[in-house]
Amino acid sequence: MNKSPIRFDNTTWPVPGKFHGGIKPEEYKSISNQTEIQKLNPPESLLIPIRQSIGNPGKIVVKVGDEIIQGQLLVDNTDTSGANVHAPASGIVKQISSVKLGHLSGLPETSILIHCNNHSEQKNGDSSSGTVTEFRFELLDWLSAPPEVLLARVQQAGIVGLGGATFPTHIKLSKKLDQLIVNAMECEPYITCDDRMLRELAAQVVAGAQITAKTLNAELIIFAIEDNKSEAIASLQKEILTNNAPTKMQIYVAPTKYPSGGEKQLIELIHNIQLPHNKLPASQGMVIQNVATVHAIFKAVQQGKPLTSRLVTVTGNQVSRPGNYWIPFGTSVEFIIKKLCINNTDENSRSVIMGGPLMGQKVSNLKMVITKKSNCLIINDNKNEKNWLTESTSHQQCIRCSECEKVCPAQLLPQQLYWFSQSEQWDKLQAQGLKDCIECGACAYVCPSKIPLVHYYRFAKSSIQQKQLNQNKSDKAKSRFEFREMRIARQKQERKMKHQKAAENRKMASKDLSDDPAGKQNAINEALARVKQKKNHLSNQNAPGKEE
Amino acid sequence: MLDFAIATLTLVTFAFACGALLGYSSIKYRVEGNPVIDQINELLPQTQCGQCGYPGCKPYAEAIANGEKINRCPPGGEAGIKAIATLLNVDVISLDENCGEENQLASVVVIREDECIGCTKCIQACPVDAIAGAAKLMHTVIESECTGCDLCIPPCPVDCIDIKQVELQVDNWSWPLPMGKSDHNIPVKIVS
Amino acid sequence: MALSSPFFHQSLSTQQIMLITCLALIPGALAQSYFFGYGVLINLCLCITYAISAEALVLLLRKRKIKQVVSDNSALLTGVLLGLALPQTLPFWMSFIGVWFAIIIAKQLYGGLGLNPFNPAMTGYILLLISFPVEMTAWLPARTIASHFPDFTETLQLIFFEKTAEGMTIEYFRLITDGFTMATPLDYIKTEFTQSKMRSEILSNQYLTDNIYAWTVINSCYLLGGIFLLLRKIIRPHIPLSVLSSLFITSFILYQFDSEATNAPLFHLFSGATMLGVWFIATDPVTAATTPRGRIIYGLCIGFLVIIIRTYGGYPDAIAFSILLLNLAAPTLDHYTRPVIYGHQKEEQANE
Repeated sequence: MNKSPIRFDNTTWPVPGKFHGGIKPEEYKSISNQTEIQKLNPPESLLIPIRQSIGNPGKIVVKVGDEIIQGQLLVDNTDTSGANVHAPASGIVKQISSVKLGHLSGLPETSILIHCNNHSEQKNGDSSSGTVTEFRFELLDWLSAPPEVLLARVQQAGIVGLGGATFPTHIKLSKKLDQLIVNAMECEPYITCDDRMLRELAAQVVAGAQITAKTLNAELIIFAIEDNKSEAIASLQKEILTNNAPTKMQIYVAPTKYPSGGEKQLIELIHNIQLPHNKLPASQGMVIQNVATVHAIFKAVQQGKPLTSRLVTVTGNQVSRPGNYWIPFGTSVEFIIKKLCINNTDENSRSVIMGGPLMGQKVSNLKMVITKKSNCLIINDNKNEKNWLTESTSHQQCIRCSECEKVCPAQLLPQQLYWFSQSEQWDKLQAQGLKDCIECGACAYVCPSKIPLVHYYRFAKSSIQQKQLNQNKSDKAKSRFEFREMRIARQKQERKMKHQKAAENRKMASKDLSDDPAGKQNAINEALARVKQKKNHLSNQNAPGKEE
Repeated sequence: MLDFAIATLTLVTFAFACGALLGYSSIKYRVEGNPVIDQINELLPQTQCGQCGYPGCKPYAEAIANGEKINRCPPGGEAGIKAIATLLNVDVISLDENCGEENQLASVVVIREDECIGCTKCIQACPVDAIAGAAKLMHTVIESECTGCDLCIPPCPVDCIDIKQVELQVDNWSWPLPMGKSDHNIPVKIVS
Repeated sequence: MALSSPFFHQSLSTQQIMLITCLALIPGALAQSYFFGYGVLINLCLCITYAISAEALVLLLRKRKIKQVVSDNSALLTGVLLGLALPQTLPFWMSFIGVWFAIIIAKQLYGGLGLNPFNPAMTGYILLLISFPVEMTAWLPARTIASHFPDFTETLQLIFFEKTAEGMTIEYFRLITDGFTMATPLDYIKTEFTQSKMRSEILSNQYLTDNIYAWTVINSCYLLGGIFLLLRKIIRPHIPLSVLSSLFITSFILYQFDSEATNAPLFHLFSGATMLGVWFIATDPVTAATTPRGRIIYGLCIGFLVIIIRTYGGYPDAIAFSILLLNLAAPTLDHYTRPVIYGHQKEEQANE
C-alpha cells in the first residue's frame, strides 16, 4: 500500500496515552474503502422495527393503511427514553405486527411494514411538482440558533449513536460539557464507513461537529482517528485549516490497535487518564460521538432531514461490488445480497455478519433489516477461511495461557471470568469485575483453545441480571406478604378490640340487667303487695258495705 | 499451704474473670432471632404459594431450620434446592413430586373481568395483595405484583381466573449457556 | 443456537502451541542423544507411546472423543518431557510407570488438560525418583569420557533386559576410563562436597570438566529452543527470566560467602535440568501462575528453591521439586496478584 505519511502539525498530534492490551487483527479494510460512497435505492417493501435504540419503545403514530411520505414520523418517543423513528421512504403502511427479525433469541419484534411507491425520480423535486413527497424539518441557522433549539432538533430527528451503541444522542448532548470527541477510530476489521465519510464528506462532518459543539457549549472538538486512515486524516486536516468555524478543532492520531474506538480506551489514549469505573465520560467534562452521528446531526440541522438511512459498509469475499452505501432503514439483508452479491454463493458455507467481525451479530435469518446500529454487513464464504469461528468450531479446554489477560483492554482476567461463568459463581464474577467487561472480544480472538469467551460473559451477565430481577421480585413479594400478614394481624386485633368493646358494652348492659331482676322482683313484690293491700282494703270496704 | 491458697485463689479469680467476660459478651453480642431462618427465607422465591404445605415462605423456612426437607418448593425449583443445600451444607435432593412440578417460565393470573361477580374471595386468598376490587364490583389482578402462586383459583366460584405464562420477549430474553462443543465440558442440564 | 461474537480468530491453536513446544525441544534432544547415546531416543519413543496410549485409554473409559482430544498434543508433550528427563537406560517398565502415573493420576483424574494442578511430567518424574532412587540417578557418563559406550543393541538390551547379551549391567557402562563411576556433574560435586573437598580440588578432575562440558552444551541447546519459543510468542518472558535471574542471584550470594563449598552461578545455570526446566516445564501454562506479577513471583521462588535444595538439600538437582512446590502456590499467587481493573482503584478492589 502506498499510503501517504501523516503530516503532524499544530492541529494534528499523536495521542499521548496508550491502553492495556489490545490486538492487531488483519484489517481487510481495502476491500471496501477503494470505491466512492454510493446510494442503494429502497426495495419494494421496508420493515421498520419500532425500537432501534436503547430505551423504552415509543408510541406508534401511524395506522395500517396510512399513506406516508418519506421522513414522516412513525414512532414518537418524545415522552420516553428512546429515539423517534421516521419513514425511510414514501408508501403505504401495510402491517404493524410482531415479526421475527433475526434477533439472536429468534423472538419476534414489533415492526411496521411499508410498501414503497417509488418516487425516487421526484425525490429532489420537492414541492415544485405540486405533491409533497418528502417531509423535512424547517432549516435552522445553527450559528444563531440557541442550543436548546438544536438539542430539540436532534431529538426530533431520532438521532442515536451510530457507532453501534444506539444510545439516544439528545440525552448525551443535554449537558453542558467542555469537550466533544468525535470518534473516527473505526478499529474493527472490514468496516470503512467512517473512513469513507471523512474522505468524501469531511466538510459536512466538520459542520456537524461544530453544531454538536454549539449544542454542548463545548470549547474544543477532538477528532480521534487511527493512523491507518491517512487519506481521511488529510481530508480532515484540509477542512480544519480552511474552515473558520467558531469552535477550536484538533486531530489526535492513534496507532492502529483494536479496540481503540472503545469509549474508555479512547479517553485513555487522548487524555492518558482512566475513566473511573462507575462514571460516564460526562463526569470528566467530555462527550464522545461517532463520525456518522455528527454527520446525522448536520443533516438534521442543515438539511432538515430526519435519520432514515445510514452509511453501511457492505464487504466480504462474496460481494461483487464491495463499498459503502447509503441504505434506508428497514432494507432486508436478503435484498442487499440480491443486489450486491455474487449469485452462485454456496449458502451453506456463507456467513453473514451484521457489524464488525469482533463485536457484530451473526445474521441467521436473512429477513434481518438494516437499522440504526448496522454499520457494516460482511458476506463471506468461509469454506477456505481459517480465521473465522463458526458453529462447527470445536473448542478445547482452557490451558490457562493468559494470552487473554495480555490483550484485555479492561485489565481483567478473562480466564478466571470464563471459569466462574462456567461454574455459575455469580458472586465471584462480580468480584472479578465482570461488569467492567466491554465484550470487545479480544480475549476470544487470541484464545488458542477457541473458547467462546464472550458468549460465556454474556451468559453470565444476563443470568446475573435475571437473578437480580427475580430477587427484586421476590423481595417485593416478601414485603407485600409481610405487610398483608401485618394488616391481617392488625385487622384481627381491631376486630378483637371491637368485639371486646362490644362485649364490654354488653356486660355493662347485662350488669344493668342483673341489677334489674332484683329490683324488678322488689318492684313486682312491692306492686304485688300494693295490689294485695288494695285488694284487702277494697274487700274490707266492700264487706261493711254489704253489711250496710 | 500458702502456695496452695494463692494458686487456688488465682485460678478462681481467673475463672470468675473469664466467666464474667463470657457472660458480658453473650449479652452484648447476642444474635437476635434465628438468622438461619432469615437466610433460608431469602433463598425461597416468596411466591407464598403454600405448595410446600406451609402457609407461606417464612413458615417453610422455619420448618427447614427445624429439620424439614429442603425439596418441597416447586417455584424455587432445582436452583432453589441447590442454594439452600449450599447454605445448610446438606446434600442436594430432587424436588418432591407431591408438592408440584417446577415451571420453567414464570406465570401470572388474569381475571376474565366480564365474568367476575365481585365476590372478593380471591382477594382474601391472595397472599401478596395483588388483586384489587371490592364487593359486588369487578376485580382485577395487578400483574406486576402477582407471584403466580395460583392460590386465588380454587376459591373463585365462577372459575373466571386464568393462568397466563409470562411471554419471553426480546427484553427479558437472556443468553443461554454456550453449548459446549468441547469434549471436556462437565455435563449440565440444558434448560430449554 | 446463536453464536456470539467475535467471529474472527487469529492465533495459534492449542495443538500448534503443544507441537511447536515439542519441536523447540529438538536441538536439546539431539545434543542429549549425541552425548548420551541412543537411549535418549529410545526413551523418547517409549514415553511418547506410553503417554498417548494412556491418554487414549482414559478417554475411552471416560467416553470422550479420543481422536479430537489426543490431537491436542498435550500427551505428546508430557511424553517428550519425561523421555528427556529420565536416565538413558532406565528399564522400560519404570518409564511406563512414570508416564502412566503422569497421564492418568496427575492429569486425567483431575479432569484432563487444563485442570491438573501439578505438571504431569514432573509428577511422574518425582514418583520415579522417590520409588527408584538408584536407577533414577544412574546416568551414563558422556560419550567423550566413557570407557564402554553402549551401542544401539546394547542400549536396547539394557532398557528391556537390564543387561546386555554379554551379561553387562548398567554399572559396567557407567565406568569412565580411569575405572571410576561417573554420576551427573551436580550429583558428583555434591557427593564430593559432603566429603569436605574443596571446589577447586574437585574441578581439577579432567573427566568431570569434560562431563560438565557435555551438560553445558545440552543446556545451551535447550536455551536456544526456549528463546525460539519466546520469539514465536509461545511463552512469555516473565517466568523464564525471573527463574534465571533468581537462580543467578541466589547462587551468586551463596558463592560470595563460600566459593570453595558452593557451585558457581554459571555452573548452576548450565547444569542438570536447569534450562529444560526453566524454558519448558516452569512455563507450562496450566500449572503456572497466570497474572504477570504472579508469574514473576512464581519464577523467583522456583529459582530460589532450586539453589537452596541443590546446596542444602538431599537431592543434587531440584528443578522438579521446586516447580511442583510452586505449582501448589500458583492459585494463591493468582489470588493476591490480580491486576487492577480499568478505572478501579487498587484499594477498593482489594476490599471486594
